[in-house]
Amino acid sequence: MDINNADNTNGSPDSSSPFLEFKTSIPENGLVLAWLTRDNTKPIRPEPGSALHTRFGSFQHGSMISSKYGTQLASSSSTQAGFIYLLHPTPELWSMSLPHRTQIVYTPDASYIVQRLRIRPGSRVIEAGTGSASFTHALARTVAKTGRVWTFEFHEPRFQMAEKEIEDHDLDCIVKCSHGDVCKNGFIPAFEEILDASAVFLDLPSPWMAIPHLKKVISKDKIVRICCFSPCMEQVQRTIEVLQKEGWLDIEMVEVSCKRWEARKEMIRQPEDAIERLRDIKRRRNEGLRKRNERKLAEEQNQEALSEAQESEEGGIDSGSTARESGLKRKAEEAVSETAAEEEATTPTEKHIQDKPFLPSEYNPWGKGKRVHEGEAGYEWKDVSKVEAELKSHTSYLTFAYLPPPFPDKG
Amino acid sequence: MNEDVIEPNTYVFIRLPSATLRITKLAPHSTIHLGKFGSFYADDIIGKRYGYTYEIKDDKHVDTIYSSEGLFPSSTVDADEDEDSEETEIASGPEEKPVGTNEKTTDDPAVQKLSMSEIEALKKTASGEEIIETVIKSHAAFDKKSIYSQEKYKRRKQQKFLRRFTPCSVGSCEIIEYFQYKDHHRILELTSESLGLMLSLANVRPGGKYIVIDETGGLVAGAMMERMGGEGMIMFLHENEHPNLDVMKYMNFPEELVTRMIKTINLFELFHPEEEEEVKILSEDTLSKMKSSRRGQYYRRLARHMELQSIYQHIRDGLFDGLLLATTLETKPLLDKLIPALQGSRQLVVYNTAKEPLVTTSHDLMADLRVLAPTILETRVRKYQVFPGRTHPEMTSKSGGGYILWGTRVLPSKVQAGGKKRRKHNPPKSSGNGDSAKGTDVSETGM
Repeated sequence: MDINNADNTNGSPDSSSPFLEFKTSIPENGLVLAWLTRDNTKPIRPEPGSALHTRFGSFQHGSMISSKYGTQLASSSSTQAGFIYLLHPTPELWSMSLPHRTQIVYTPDASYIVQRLRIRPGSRVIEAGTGSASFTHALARTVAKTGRVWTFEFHEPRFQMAEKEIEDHDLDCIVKCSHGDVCKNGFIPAFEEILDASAVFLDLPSPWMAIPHLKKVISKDKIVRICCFSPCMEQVQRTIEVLQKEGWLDIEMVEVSCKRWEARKEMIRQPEDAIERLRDIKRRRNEGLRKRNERKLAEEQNQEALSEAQESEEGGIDSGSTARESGLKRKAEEAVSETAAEEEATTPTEKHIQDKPFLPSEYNPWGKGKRVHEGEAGYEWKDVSKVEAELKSHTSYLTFAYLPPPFPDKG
Repeated sequence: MNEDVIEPNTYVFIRLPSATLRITKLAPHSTIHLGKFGSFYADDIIGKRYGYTYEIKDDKHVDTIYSSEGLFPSSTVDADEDEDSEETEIASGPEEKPVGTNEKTTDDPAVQKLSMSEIEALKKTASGEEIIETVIKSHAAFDKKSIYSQEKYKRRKQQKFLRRFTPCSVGSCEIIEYFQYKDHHRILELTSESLGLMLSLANVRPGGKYIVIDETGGLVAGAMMERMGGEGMIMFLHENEHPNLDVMKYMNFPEELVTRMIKTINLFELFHPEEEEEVKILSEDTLSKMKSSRRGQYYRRLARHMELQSIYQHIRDGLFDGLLLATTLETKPLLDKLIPALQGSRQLVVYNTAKEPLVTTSHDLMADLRVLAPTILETRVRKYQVFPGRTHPEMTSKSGGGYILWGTRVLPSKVQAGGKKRRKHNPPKSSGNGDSAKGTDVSETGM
C-alpha cells in the first residue's frame, strides 16, 4: 500500500471519526444521526443539558450520551409519545440527512463509481468539485486511514463549509480540501504534497478543461482510472474528445438507474366472493320487495277498512283532504317498512353464508365502506412490491476511462 | 494481489479484441494459448506493469504497443463494442470527407476477392494489421460504403485478425465481467453496480467484522476483502462441509490473508454449538511421543476448535458490524439467528436474483422491531455508444443484477409511539413515527 509515501502534514491519522471506525456507544459530543422518519434524519452532537425538539416530542441529550448506537429513544414529553432512533453515521445515512447545498452524488451512482474506479484502502483519489462533500465521505470511508482524498472546490463558501465539515467529522487526516479552479489552474492542493493519485472523479461543468491538467498530479507507475460525472450528453461528447486526445483508453459511458421498491400487501379478492356478494344483494333486494308488497297489501286492506269505518262515522265530509293526508301517511309508512325489510333481510339468521359466520349484517368479504388497514387480520393478503412514487430516473452520465502507466524506454 | 505489477503464478484477466475474455494463471516459463489469437510466452509479460497492451509475434514473443492505442489502432471505441451493433463509430467528424452511403450496398459475397485459403496463407506471414489492410484492399465495394460502415467493417476485421491482448489484474469487477459472459448463474447474476451498492450500504471498510453468506464462490467475500485492506474479519457462513471459495481464488489473495480474515462456519456449527466436541488438551509429554503427522492433526483440530469458540463468543456478545447475504436459502430462520449477533445501528444487506423473496423478507422485517426501514433496491447500469451525432444507448445490455434489501439493525425499547395506531397502511416500522403521513415516507430520501 501507499502508507510510506503518504505525506502526513497534519500529524498521525485520527482514529476518532465514526466514518472510519465503528463505535458501540455514543460519546458526549459524538456525532449521532437522529432518525425521525425515512426522509428526516437530523445530525446532532449530544451535550448535557440540551434537548432535541421535534414534532414527535422532545429528547434529552443527556439520555443519549453513553447509550448504544441504534437505541430507540422515547420522547421525554408526556404529551407526545413519539420516538427516534440514534444512528451511527455512515456516508450513506449522512448523504440522506444532508441539507442539500448542491445536487449530490446519490448512493447508487457513488457506490458504482467507487467499485469501477477500484478504490481501496490506501488509494489516493482526486475529487473535483467537492460540492456538498457527500461523495467525499464515501471516498474517505473506502480509502480509509492509509489513503488520501484531495478534493477541490472553486466556490469559496462551499469550500469553507466542506472544509469545516470534514474537520468536524475528523476526516481531515485523510481528506485534503482545497479552494481553486482546477479547469483554469490545475490541481494545486492547499499545501504542498505529491498527489500521485490513481483515481480521479470529476463532477464539474466542463471536465474537458480539467483533464489536461491531470498528467502532473496522477501516478506515474500504475494505471490511473477516471470517472467524469455530467448531466448532459453534450458535456460527455466534449469530455470524450479530450480523453482520447490525452491518451485515455477503454472509454465507456454509462448511466445508473436505481429503483426503490416498497414491500406492500394487496388484498386477495376472489371472483367467487364477488359473485356471492351479488347473490346476497339480489336476495336481499327480492326479500325487501316481497316484504314491501306484503305490507302494501296489508296497508291497502287496512286503509279500506279504515275509510269504510270513517265514511260510516263522518258521512263523507272533506274527503279530499283526508285522501291527501292518508297519502302522505302511506309514504311515511312505506319508508319505515323498507328499512325494516332491509334490516330483517340482513339479520345473520336469514343469510345463507355458511363459511363466514362472523361477518356483520351483510356479506362484505373485503370490508367495503370500512377503513381496512393494509394487512389487517380477517382478510386475505398477498405480498407485493410497488415502485416508489418519485423515481430518480436520471442523475448524470458517467464516463469511465483509464490511462496506462507512462511507456518505459524502448528496449 | 499486486494490482500494479504482473507477478508470476497469479491469475490474470486477458482482454482480447473480440469480446472474448479469459482468466489464466501465469506460470513462469509457460506458454499461454489464446485460441485463434495465437500463443505467447508468459515470461514476456511477467514483471511488467498492468495497463499495457501487447501484440503477439510469430515467434510467440510479444511486442508492447508503445502508443496510446490500446487494443485497437486509431482507438475510438471501447473494447466491449457489441459486434451486432447497427451503428458504427468513427475517428473524426464524418462531415469532413465526401463519402458513400448505404444506398448501393448489396449482400454479395463476391465483393471480397481474397479466398479463404489466401487469407489463411496471409495469416502465417503477415501481421494482424497487414492482413486487415489487404482484406480491405481486396474488398471491391469498400469505397461505396459509408464512412460509418467502413469503420464498422474495419472493426470487425480487427476483432478477427488483430493479435493483441491486454492483461488486467483480477478484481471483483473483472470476475463479474468474466462470469457475465461465461456462467452468470455461478455468481448469482451479480453485477458490478449491485455488488458496489451492497458494499457501500453494508459499510464495508477496514477493521469491520462482518457476517456473510456467499453462494457466489467467494466473490462477495473477496470484494469485501478488497475494501478491508487486510484488517477486520469475515465470518463466512456456509451450508456445506467445506466452504466454496472457487471464484475467490482468481483474486490472488495470499493464503495467509484469507485464513487470517475469513473465519468459516457451517450452518450446523452455527445452530448447534452444543454439539461441538471438546478437544482434549494433551500434555507436552504425550505430544512428544506422538507421530508428527498425528501431532499436526492435533494442532489443527485445536486451532479450529479455538477459532470456533471465538466465533461463538462474537455471536453471543453481538459484536458484528454488518451482515451480507447472497444466498438461495430461506432468509427468515437465518436472520432470526443472526440479527442478535449484530451491534446496534449496523447494516443488513440481503441480495437475491428475484424480488419476491425479498418482499417476503421485507414484510418479516417490518414486523420485527429490530430492523429499521427495510428497503428494496434495484440498480442497473445502461451503456451508451457515444460518437458525435451518433449517440444512443446500446441495443442490448447484460441481464442480471438482482435486488438488494437494505435495513439497519436497531435496539428497540419497550416504549412504543402513541401515534402508531393511527396509521392507515405501512406498518410503522417502515416509516418511523406513527403519525408521519404515508405520502412523505417515500420521497426525497436520497436514493
